[in-house]
Amino acid sequence: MGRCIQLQLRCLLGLCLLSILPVSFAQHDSEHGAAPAAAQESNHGDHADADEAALEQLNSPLVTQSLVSDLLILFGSFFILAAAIGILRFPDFYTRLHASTKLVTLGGIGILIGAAFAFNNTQQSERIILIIVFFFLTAPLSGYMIGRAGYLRGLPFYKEHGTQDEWQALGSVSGVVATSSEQASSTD
Amino acid sequence: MVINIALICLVAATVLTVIRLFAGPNWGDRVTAYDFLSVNFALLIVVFAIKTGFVAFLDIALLVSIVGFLSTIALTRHLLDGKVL
Repeated sequence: MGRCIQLQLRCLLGLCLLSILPVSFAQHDSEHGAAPAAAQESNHGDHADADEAALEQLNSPLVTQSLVSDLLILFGSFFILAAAIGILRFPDFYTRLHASTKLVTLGGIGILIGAAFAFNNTQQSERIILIIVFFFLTAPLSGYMIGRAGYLRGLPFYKEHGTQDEWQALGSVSGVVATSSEQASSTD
Repeated sequence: MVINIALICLVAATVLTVIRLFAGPNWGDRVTAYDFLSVNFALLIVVFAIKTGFVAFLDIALLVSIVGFLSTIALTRHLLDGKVL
């Protein structure tokens, strides 16, 4: 189990590095490649239409807020605020983790899709889509890791009448939990 | 207008989470609040990029989300096993 999670972590680390690389290359190309190419085209004078199109793209405003992007950003920020209220008000570590993880995924995706609609240029929208893919990969995994660590280290949970630990009621699983907590306590 | 409302919501969420970060009874609450704060900061940077039109903030948001995720994983592995890798 530990080996599987290590493999997962290595794959995610590789994904992080892979997701940094194309952004830096794209920026490098746009800084050093685009400006001399535009200068050469203007020297030749044959591509006047392309120059005009490029100038229009440069002079047009970068951000145009439409109704769709406004509604999506409002949706996302409302859910982020609801997640913060849930973190502050819920009685338990596990319920706070539940509020944080689920609502952060929903609200973050709302804000990011709204931002992708708000930007005019396609390059920025591609970057935002990269951030969306990264959110979908990492937000549930971090929530899972926090919940697993808290449960295996025995954080107390909120007890009402009739609350029971169903995971520990399974006989075969409780042995695993006990041995791993013994290992964790022996390493301290 | 909508961007300002979104900024106000995100900053209010940050304030509420910082209260939980200081007052949390367990380390689990603090790790949860830290994870939420890192994601919230990345979203704040994206909304700020829309407000100012400065594109390089998007790369900064990507880096902030990557660093927040990796540090959350490192914190949980340290608190569970006593070792990070």
